[in-house]
Amino acid sequence: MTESSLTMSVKPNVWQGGFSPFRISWGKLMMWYFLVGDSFSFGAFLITYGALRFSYESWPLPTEVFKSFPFLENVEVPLGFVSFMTFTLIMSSVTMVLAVHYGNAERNRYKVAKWLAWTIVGGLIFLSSQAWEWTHLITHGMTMKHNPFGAPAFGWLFFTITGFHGFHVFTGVIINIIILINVLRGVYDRRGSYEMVEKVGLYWHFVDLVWVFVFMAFYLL
Amino acid sequence: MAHEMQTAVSSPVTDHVHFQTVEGEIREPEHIPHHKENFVTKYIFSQDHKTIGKQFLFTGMFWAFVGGLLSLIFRLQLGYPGQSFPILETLFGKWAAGGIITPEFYYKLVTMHGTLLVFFVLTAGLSGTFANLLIPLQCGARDMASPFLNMLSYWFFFAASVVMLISFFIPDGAADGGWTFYPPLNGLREASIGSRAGADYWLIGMALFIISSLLGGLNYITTVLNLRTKGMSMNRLPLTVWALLITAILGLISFPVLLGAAILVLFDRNLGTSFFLDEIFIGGRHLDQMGGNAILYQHLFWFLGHPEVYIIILPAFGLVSEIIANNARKPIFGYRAMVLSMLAIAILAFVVWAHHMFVTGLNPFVASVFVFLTLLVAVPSAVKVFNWLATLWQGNIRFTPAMLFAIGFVSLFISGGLTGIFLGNSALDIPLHDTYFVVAHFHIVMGVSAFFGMVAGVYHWFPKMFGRYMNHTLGYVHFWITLVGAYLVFWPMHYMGLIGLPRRVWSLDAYQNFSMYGDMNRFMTDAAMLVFFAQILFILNFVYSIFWGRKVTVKNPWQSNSLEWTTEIVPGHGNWKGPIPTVYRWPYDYSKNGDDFIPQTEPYRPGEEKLHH
Amino acid sequence: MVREGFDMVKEIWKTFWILLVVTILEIGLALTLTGHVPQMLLNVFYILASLAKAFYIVAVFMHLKFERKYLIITVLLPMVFMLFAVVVLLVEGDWWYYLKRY
Repeated sequence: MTESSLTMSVKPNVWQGGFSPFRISWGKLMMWYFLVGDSFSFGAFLITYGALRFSYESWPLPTEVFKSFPFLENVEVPLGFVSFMTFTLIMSSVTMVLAVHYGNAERNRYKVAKWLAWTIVGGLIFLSSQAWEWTHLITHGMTMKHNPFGAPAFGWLFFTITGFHGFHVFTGVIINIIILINVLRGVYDRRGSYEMVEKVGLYWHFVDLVWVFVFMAFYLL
Repeated sequence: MAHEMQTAVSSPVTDHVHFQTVEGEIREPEHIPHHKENFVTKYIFSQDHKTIGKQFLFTGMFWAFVGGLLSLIFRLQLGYPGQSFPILETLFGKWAAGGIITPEFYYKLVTMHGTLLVFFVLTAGLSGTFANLLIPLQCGARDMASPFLNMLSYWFFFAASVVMLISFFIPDGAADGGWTFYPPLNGLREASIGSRAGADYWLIGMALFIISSLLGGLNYITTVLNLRTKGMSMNRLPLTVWALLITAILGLISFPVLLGAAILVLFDRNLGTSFFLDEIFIGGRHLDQMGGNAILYQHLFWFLGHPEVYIIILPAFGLVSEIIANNARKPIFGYRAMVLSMLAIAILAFVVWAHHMFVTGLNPFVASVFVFLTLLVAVPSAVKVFNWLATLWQGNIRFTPAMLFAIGFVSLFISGGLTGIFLGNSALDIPLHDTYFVVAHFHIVMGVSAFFGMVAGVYHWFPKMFGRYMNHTLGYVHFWITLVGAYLVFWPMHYMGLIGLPRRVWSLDAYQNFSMYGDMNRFMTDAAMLVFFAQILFILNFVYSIFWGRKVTVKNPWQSNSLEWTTEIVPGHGNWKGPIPTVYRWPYDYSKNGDDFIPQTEPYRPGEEKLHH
Repeated sequence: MVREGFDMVKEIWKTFWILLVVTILEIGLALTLTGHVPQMLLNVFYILASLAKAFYIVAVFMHLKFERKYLIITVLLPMVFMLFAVVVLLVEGDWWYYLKRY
């Protein structure tokens, strides 16, 4: 910084201008603040869930609603399938953060592509699991209007909120695929930085983060 | 600051628009690349923040005209009840059969007047215009962080505008359930004519609008934080930038909640859910949709809705602070207090929303908490008012049209703010709610005063936008008619409201004891028309001055300190031809040491006293 | 930025195991203890466990604990408003239940 010597008595600080006070690029900052905003749209839905649930006398038991597992027709596995889904999502978060790490630390195109591809696979498994779970519940009579397990509100809240989350997973998978193509084409090697992978990674972890609370709301509480 | 810079030196340049490294250092290129621009990239799908700002301004002015016209039509009904205006039938057909507007049409007019003015004019038109125009110029940036997202922000706003405009022309007409869009009136297709297709258009238009303001807001925040020029520390930012930054933060946090609420209403209407519906009977038949709660929507709406009114007023705060300091030729009084009070207002914005719901059957304990928090808002608001007055005190005032509108803003903000203290008390709000007292309060404190801030900004920064001045004589006429007229329209509403005249009523004939206000209503309608015609004068002045106004010949026509006046008279893409100037002082060094003004780019002289960092 | 000599990969896998164990614990308690201990006790545990998981995801996976102090503050501070809204709306929900009964 080439400030005039006359202003040097002012204590230098990170807010001085000419660079980011957080030492990160505007792109990453924008992704962070987008996620702050988006957490409020999920917040609105989950708050809706909480307020409505508090106004009800009784609420369906999660262990009663979610007890089926694909290909196991007559066996009851309470919370079994959702455990699998949760595991998939955590796993895909791990693969994503590994992709980010190998991009930032080593700029290793091969490793980034490998872990990003696994992340996409994880996302797709999660989405298909959700599709199966939805189909199963709908065939058993739980829809946007009815719920054979108890309060109808459980039905429409479940489909709306998990649907909104699934929509985020879906867009995350699409964006990951685009980034994977860019990685393979060497776009980020030419640019000299894998920051784009990191930004997408932030979004992906956010989706995982939201699932923690969706999972808590519908499957545990 | 070597410790700050070491990491950045070796790191590659990742972004070719702003030359900012991954570590966030701004790099100036050797040569600023000049892309060949054609008509479409320069004027339509422009990525230049100044052009986008003008696009927001033009669209906002269009909606201001439409929204104002709508209010005139329903004021005709209120001022001249039962009187036939054949022209209305010619224009609106079945909606004004016999020259008298129908109740359904009245509600459409009121709903769309509110929606358009609150969101499309005073949110997008105000902060969209001035955030785009001023943030990069006053922070010392070549453009917004992401010019592309900035362009998308405008075009989402445009799409929202198109959807809203179409909704006027569909067979059932636009939405009619109030700008707050409460269910069940809006949550059920059967509720009224406007809650058929019109309400869906409204929801989709608002969803597009929210996306637009989020894209814009993210850009504003990151630009202010990350792309300030060297020396432009946060406490050297002009108050306009502070205000626009805080506005964007409010929008970023509150608009997603409205998006959520809008999605839920859309589901209630179209997918058979009942988030906001419970125990409803239509024609004696019990509705299947039940189990939700209509108050829930109001909570979600006002969690946005209250920050929204600060989103409207904060940019006006910023513009007015800048204009008053500049034209009083005095440093702004209490810069730090101004910033802190805006931050305090922003924080309080999120914890006072339920004061809009005192009579909905809110839990009384919750209501009492909200009364307390609401009344706290008076403190930072008063700090700001006293600071403006202290800035004016013994100033060497230049009464430009911008300055007049800024002073008018302070007057209106005081008048409207005082009635807010009445309404913030739940005990007083019970008799006053839903009367014309409320209408008077929010029109003066937020509607008209934010409009004054916006107009002041247009007069002040017109030379920067178009390189010409607006006509000052017309500006003075515009100001006096608008100020006096606005008080004449809205002041009497306080008295009507105090004796209980309800708002949102098509005709007061049903209430015998309100017939005493017939004359006053007619007077207010006439005053409203006068004010509206003064705005046409403004539009004429605006359009005329763009093409034929007096040319600006100096870089700094208002002898201002801030950075936007160091550029060319009409800056091109990239703002500064040479390197971006470095900043050495705050923007309010007016009348210091015998100098009329000292621009921010001027280093401190030996022995000069520092008024501020 | 991450310190020199800091093994990020190890940190990532450590976090993975923490998340996995907490989740298994949550599900395990839900399957075994529901109906045997006061539900309120379980709910408190679920909420605390979820917050813990959220902390690890944000801090390690999203790198927030390696970022500058002010970024951490600006990201976390708005969540106070969400917390406020949660409390108000839960009190309201309880109030609606009360209104329904009387």
